Amino acid sequence: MTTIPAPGRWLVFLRGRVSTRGVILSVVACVVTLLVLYPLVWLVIGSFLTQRAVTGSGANAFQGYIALLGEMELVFNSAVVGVGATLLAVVLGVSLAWITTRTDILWRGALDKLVLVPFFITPLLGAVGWAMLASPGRGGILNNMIASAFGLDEGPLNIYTPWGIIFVTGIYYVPFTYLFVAGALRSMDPALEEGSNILGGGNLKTAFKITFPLIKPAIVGSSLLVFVLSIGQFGVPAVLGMPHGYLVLTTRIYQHVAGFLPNYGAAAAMGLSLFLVTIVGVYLQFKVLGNTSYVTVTGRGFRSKLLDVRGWKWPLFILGFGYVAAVVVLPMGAIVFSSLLKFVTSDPSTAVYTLENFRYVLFDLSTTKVSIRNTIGLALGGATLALAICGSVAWIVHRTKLRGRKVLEYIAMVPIAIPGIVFSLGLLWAWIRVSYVPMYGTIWIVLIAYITVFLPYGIRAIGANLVQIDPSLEECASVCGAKWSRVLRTVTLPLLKPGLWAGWTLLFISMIKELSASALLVNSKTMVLSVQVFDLWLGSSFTRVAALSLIQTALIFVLLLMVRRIGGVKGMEL
Amino acid sequence: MVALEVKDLVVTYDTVAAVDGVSFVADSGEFVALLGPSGCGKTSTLRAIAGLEVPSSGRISVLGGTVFDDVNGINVPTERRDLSMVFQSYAIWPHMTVFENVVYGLQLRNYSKAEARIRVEEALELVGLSEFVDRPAPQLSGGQQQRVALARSFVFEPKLLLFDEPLSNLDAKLRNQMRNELKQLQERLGITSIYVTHDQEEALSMADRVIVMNNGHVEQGGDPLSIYYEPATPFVADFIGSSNIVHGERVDEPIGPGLVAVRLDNGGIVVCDARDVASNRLAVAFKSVHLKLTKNVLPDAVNAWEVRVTRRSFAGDFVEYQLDWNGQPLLCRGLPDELVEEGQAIFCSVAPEHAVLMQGSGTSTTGGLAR
Repeated sequence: MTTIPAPGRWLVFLRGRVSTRGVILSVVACVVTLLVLYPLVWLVIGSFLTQRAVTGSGANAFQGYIALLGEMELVFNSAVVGVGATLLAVVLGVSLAWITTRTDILWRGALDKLVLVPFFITPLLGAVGWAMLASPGRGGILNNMIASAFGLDEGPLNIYTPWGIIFVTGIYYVPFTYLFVAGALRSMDPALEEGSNILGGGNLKTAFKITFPLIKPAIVGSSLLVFVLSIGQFGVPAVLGMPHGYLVLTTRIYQHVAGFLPNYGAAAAMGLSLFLVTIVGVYLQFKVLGNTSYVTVTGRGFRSKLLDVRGWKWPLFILGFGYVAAVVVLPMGAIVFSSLLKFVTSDPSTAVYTLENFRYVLFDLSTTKVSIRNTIGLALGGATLALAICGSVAWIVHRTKLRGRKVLEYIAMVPIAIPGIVFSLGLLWAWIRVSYVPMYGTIWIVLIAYITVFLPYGIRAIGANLVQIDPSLEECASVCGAKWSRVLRTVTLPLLKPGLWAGWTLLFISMIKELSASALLVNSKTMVLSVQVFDLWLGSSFTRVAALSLIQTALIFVLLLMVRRIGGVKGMEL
Repeated sequence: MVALEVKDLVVTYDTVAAVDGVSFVADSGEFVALLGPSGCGKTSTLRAIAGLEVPSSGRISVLGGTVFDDVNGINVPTERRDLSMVFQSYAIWPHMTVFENVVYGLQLRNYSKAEARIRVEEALELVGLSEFVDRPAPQLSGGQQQRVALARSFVFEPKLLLFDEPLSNLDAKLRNQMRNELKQLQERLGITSIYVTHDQEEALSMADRVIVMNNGHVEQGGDPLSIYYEPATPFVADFIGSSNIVHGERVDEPIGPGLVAVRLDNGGIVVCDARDVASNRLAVAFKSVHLKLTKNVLPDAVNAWEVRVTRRSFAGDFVEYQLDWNGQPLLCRGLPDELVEEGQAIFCSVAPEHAVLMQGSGTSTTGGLAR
């Protein structure tokens, strides 16, 4: 074959189809670029502006970075939490994936479903629950029980430590590593492992020489993702570290903006530094994993032979369901218990029970009605708008030959590397001085934040479904004489419907749970549930936090059931 | 009348030309097969005709109307080219019934409901699926999906029917049956058809004209018999059937009227029918079925060589012998009725009209794959 230049190809393409299609696609591309890059640009500018610069006169442009250099222990703390949580999530995720796909332990199928429950519970709730379980001394329920059982004066656990933060963050990110690794294990041809058996490799040798090397990309890729997510995490270090003086970058950014002596420049400098680390992590993750979806793991084509683990049966069973207990049963139990208390106590036998807390947060606390309304409204509107944008981007990337579609995809994927709190900081900088577009302090700025932050998840979810649809189905429609809009309406959208529902549900739930981007953006009028839970926590009303958390969780599950009923989606693919 | 004209077509992906200057025409009602190995550019050519790929240069016209021309900046979108296509994957829409699939093209052409219904029923009857009208598409077998795809493609009487390896996903037996049905149907409907395939049997048995493609260009175009008996290039000789290609120099002394002799690198002489070939370095191709094995030299044999059987493999309908002729390996296919033992010395002959002279280069090859 010879290589020849292709001049005029693009021109010919244009001349053939200048159309509404082209206009719509350009608008989508511009909107995405604006949503993602405009706040980022302002984050960079903001990091060089001083306090005074916000109001007019200039001072030292590097004061934000100087403040950061003065607090280098924050970088260290963030790294410790990130690495620790990642290690925990990887070890647990890989073990659980191996247990559910390769062993014959009891209730393996149920475990496979239960491991994903943390997707529906916010890490904030996990932190709150574990604070109630493992407060130091005899304050925590679990601590109290251990102390009583062993006749100790004080329980051995203290959740308000770096270890506590690592523990809670790690266990709530297990589903990410689990999904990737279990997916890789399921899609592995069993003949690869059987071949090793036939050549004389025992089960252990096969696992270490064949199985693990083959799933290494899934392990490395998902650990990079978890690392990026956990150093950008806000809820857990805010609940377990901030009140006791153990700070990481995200919580310090929050203090710099929402504290008594705001220093926006320092916050921006920290945010930008954090973003530079996370974008490298995401880039590496792209390299390792390619374009696999974060949410839809396909390829359940193979049925592997299950190992008879004999004596290990019960230890593995305990590991699996112990995880479920630690991540769902214990913290939720503690929250239910606390929500029913009249006075705070860690001893169920002497407690006085009441429903007063629910009455208080639902009826006396005027903010609750506002935040429930805002949360649902934002999630409905945000998920719908985001779905439209994500669908268009996925379609451009997978179904057109437009120049720059790869660039568009990369831009739309950037938010996965931006910690929510850093992004909202950029948004604040971007809109705070624009007085002719009243954005700052409105619900619209929250909506913009939600849509942008979750773009990558939506695009991946829809993209994964779109690539499953054979392009010739659409090509055949246009050969039959249908215009692109008709092809979309009669072929693409009907086939994509289940994928769109799954994507919408994912976006909807993510937006109800959102805390870190909302924390800096909302005020009393634009309050949302997760921030209200967090504010109540800072106001240290244990029992009321518990009641409100339960209301939030119940809301998620009720809405999820409704969505599934309406969408007719049987087993929702997560 | 010319139904389709493709002129100097070039299709590039990134900077690689998948189709590199392809030209051919199809007459009205003609069945033209584009035949070649995978990656030869046949499917890209077909997709460019359909408007599913944008060529970088060239011209395509359908029934005299230009649908693509880079010089004049014409690129009619797929949906307005009024042609139809049967895809390799069938592309049956899984969310529709058989009826909804077939009626799609008619709906877009503003047929009345009643007339559309009649046409769909006629089309389904032609492909033998009348009783499946209201069956949801996912409940069809592969062969039935194939028939629905066919009915959907011709129901609105397009100017041109394109086939992209439509039979390659069927099992051998069904493929043979569909081949005959498809050919009969095409003759009955009289729609000009372009049929892409890598299967020479399909191309030779169905097409009025076969265009052999290789590396993005046309190697040879012609009716099936001439493609088989008179390959123009070593590639075509090698690709169609099982062939021997030997190389050598022209022998200057005259052999006889209309004959040319070639001295091979092993010293042997091959006599073939004279053809107008300019170069001194020559190649001669002959099919392995045209080699005859005999115990003695036949009296009137022109090419009779003493060879040794090095290997015999029995393949049921035929027996394949690997022969050694003074160091030149040859491949011969004989009938399984009279077997020759391995190691045996024997005479082998080929008629001059079956030894095709062509411009040569490089070294000799034998056989190719048993296609």
